[in-house]
Amino acid sequence: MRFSFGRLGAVLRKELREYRRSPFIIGTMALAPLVFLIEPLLTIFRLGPSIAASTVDKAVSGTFLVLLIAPALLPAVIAAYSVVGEREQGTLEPLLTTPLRREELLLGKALGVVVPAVGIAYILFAVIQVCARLFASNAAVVSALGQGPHIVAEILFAPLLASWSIWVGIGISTRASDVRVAQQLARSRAFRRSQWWPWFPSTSSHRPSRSRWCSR
Amino acid sequence: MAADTTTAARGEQPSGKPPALVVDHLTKRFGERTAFEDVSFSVAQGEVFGFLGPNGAGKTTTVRTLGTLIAPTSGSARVAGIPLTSDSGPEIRQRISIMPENPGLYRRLTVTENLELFAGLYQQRNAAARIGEALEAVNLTARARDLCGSLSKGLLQRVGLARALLNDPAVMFLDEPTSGLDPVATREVNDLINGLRQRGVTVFLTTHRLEEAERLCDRVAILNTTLRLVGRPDELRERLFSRSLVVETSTPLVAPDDVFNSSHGVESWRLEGTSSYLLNVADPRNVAPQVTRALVAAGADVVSISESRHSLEDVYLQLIDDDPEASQR
Repeated sequence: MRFSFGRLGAVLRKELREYRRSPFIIGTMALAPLVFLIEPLLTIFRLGPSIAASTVDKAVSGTFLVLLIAPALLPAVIAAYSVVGEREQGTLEPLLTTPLRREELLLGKALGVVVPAVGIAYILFAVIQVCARLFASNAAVVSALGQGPHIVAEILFAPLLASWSIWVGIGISTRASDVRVAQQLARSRAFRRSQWWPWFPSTSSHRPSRSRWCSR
Repeated sequence: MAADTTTAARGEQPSGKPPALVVDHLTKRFGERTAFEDVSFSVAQGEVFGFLGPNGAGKTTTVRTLGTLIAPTSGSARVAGIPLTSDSGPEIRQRISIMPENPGLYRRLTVTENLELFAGLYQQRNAAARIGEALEAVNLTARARDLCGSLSKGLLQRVGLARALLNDPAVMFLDEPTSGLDPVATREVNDLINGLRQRGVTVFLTTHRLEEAERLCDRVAILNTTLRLVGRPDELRERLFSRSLVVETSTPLVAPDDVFNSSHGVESWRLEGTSSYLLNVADPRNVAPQVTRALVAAGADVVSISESRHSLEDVYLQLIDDDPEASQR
């Protein structure tokens, strides 16, 4: 029996239905990056029209750092719950008694997390762009935030980082015997991954050099 | 005691239809621990087959093995006509259904949404109609939009059964379907199993409730790591217990030896209580009239004469009491 997109779709629909029934899952997912974005946003808004370019770069870099870390951090906990959570609530065995293949289950679970995670990351990015245009008094900030490389980086790296984080989370989830252990491990792995941020494009001249990052 | 693996006990069908389930010397070990060993039996199509045994006897592991959730250590099996191999799991699971002891439903989803998930996993073309039929079969149509989290345990078991019906399975494995249910809910589940029998579904039922097994099952197997007995409940009773008559009189007999020994077919007798007698006989139907005549001739006031019926529970306890492994569990 071959891989079936029908079965994959059934798992994905179930995941999205569960989110719909528990909007807090998604709500709390977006909460952490929102909190982390407050400080850089306020910094951007406070920048006057005659601030030095280096200060502008630093503020914009700080904002993008949070935006790029968010997709890696957001789904880790939910992905870590995916398999071990099913096991704990006794729903994994009934799933495995159907023709569902292991790869269909895992891919369905992963898609179920990646869709809201990337969606939230894009929405945050859009919110920042809109807020900057509406409230920032420094034109250079607005221009830097809307630069092509930033937009491309967000569009490309948000799903990549989210996917990587989700696969690690699901990998942990398949091995863990306790939901709490799986979530702690996934969160710590996601934090470690966030140290990759210097690889991402930035206008900042203050970011650590590659050699400095590698020597850590 | 070795398992009876004669043709009848193995469930081969006189009609020539291939059996729904054939298990041949199947063994499952987890490291040093043996879950079950050298288990052989077969189940005919449309049969309700009871699988009994004490806790830890290997019943659920057998179901999980036949349901392709875990691989056997040795031996072979054919499930719904498909050989049990490492590659045949999805194909077998498409043709069977398993209802675990815990129905394992998503409590945040409605009954219909739960069933839609599984209809999707079985790739049912006309999912809505199938779900409707399954809900109707378990009398749950009115609760279709209820969240599973709001249902009682009995209703959840019924949803679990509806889910097991979705793919129109050739073999349905029910693992302790009435565990933890009250008598009313138990009766409803039993009625459903009877309904499955009438629809020609092969049911493999593991249970601790022996009266349930006796009432529902065409044949039963008693497992205690190895298979101890397979057969119809009445066959097992006859095999383990001699047949007997219970005679009750209003006052004790003056000379019971004379009365009972004068009746042909009475092999032995013993007093049970003050005026009740247990007679071991070869054929209760033939001996009972003779005993009645002898009692009347002796001037006894007969209250009742009846055949002593050993229950499946007696059979089970007789087997398990003789088994030192079971008493250690």
